[in-house]
Amino acid sequence: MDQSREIIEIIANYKGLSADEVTPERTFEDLGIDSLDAIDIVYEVEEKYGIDVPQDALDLNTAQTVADLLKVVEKVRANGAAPDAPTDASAG
Amino acid sequence: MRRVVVTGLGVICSIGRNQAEFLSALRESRSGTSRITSFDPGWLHTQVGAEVKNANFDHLMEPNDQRHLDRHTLLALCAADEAVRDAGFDCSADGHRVGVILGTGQGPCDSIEQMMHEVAVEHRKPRPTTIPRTMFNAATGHVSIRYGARGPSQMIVTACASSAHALGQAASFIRHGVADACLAGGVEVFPSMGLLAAWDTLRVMSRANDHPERGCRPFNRDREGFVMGEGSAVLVLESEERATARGARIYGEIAGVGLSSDAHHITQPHVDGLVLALRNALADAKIDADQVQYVNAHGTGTPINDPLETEALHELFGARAKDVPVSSTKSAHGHTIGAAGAIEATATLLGMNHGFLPATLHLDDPDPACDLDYVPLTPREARFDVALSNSFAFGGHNAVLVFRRYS
Repeated sequence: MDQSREIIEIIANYKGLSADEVTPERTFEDLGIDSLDAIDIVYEVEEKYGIDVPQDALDLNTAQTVADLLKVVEKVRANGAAPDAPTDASAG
Repeated sequence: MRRVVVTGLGVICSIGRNQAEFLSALRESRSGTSRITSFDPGWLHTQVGAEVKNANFDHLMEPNDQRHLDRHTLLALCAADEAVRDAGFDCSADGHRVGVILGTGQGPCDSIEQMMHEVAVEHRKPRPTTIPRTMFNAATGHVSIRYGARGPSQMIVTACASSAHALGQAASFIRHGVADACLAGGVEVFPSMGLLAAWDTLRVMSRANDHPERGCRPFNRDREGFVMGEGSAVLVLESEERATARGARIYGEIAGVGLSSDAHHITQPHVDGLVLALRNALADAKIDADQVQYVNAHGTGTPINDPLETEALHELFGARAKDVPVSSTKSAHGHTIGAAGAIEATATLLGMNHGFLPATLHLDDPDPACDLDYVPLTPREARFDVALSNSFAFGGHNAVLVFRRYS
């Protein structure tokens, strides 16, 4: 199964929908995904692929569609993104 | 000061998943205590609990959506849903004047323990929804969202007195015009295994593993401690004006609230604190002790509580003490900690409306130090118009509510 299909299945399962209903062009709003759901879905994707989606990689307030999420995950996996660590050791 | 009336009752606990089942169980002296089923208790001294069996929340929301809420929130939503329907309550026009005040002792403990397991044992990140699931006030927030109640909302945490405090706080808001109505009560889930194990080592729970249905025996000579329970009760409280204007059925009035603290010991109750709360309740209701016709006792079934509560009632009632019926419905539904005050308020109001005194189950051999009329074994047909409901908590927090027939 390709990655897009796997992520769509995660979303579908999360919202109790069939995978056929979760097409890339559909909006989160349309699928009943609020910002908290979106964060939780990203967590499931992170767990599945052992990745860490950086804080600034996906603005969950402006991400509009399933395709937005698919693109970000693809990019993060391509870059082999490291864990979201502080850039300045003295910060915080 | 405005009068506060009760117009709706919703309840779910080990002896009933709704008001009708709860009422039948009280009338038929059914016990809800049994061997613990939510985990294997075999390694604990206490293997007895009062769990809600066969709970179903599908009438509230899709099963898929239930996954995102702790059982704690679902139990509270279940009781609130029944209370609102029972009252015919609608606040679409005055939601800004409606509050939600609940109590809990231990919060969404299952999700908290699950988070600890994920982190400490599985070395995984907790889910992002962990905080909104595990915060103690989650149930209050969900109830206010569901009904559009935009007035004051709080979750009160005072152990075994939490929901008595919640009812008292809600009544106070209505009396003083802060709100015109409140959904008020409490909720407790059965403890997660780690939490119950901690209670186990405290040696306050019944170890009646070979006769779990008789696990909680308040005022009995051979009582062994309390039986941990779970459940929720939510009451619709309204100002007299709001309720009568819409022709609501009125179960009774919260006529007084008595609060005190023992300021003595973190787990040991003190008789002076109990008596102070009882006297404060009567003073608040502007009634004499002679007018009280029934007391729903805290009655945990622990060695310490029952004679101490008896002593406090002797001090309150004087020569009349043995003539006032007192009962502990914890003998049936266990000790639901933060939901206890609200569940017992519900039992008291149902007794007042259906003409019976709920019984103290299993009381076949009273402790000589417990010498009141505890309505043993079976409920008694009786009309009563004024009742007290006692809640005394670890921490020394005491709350006594006065319920009066509305006229």
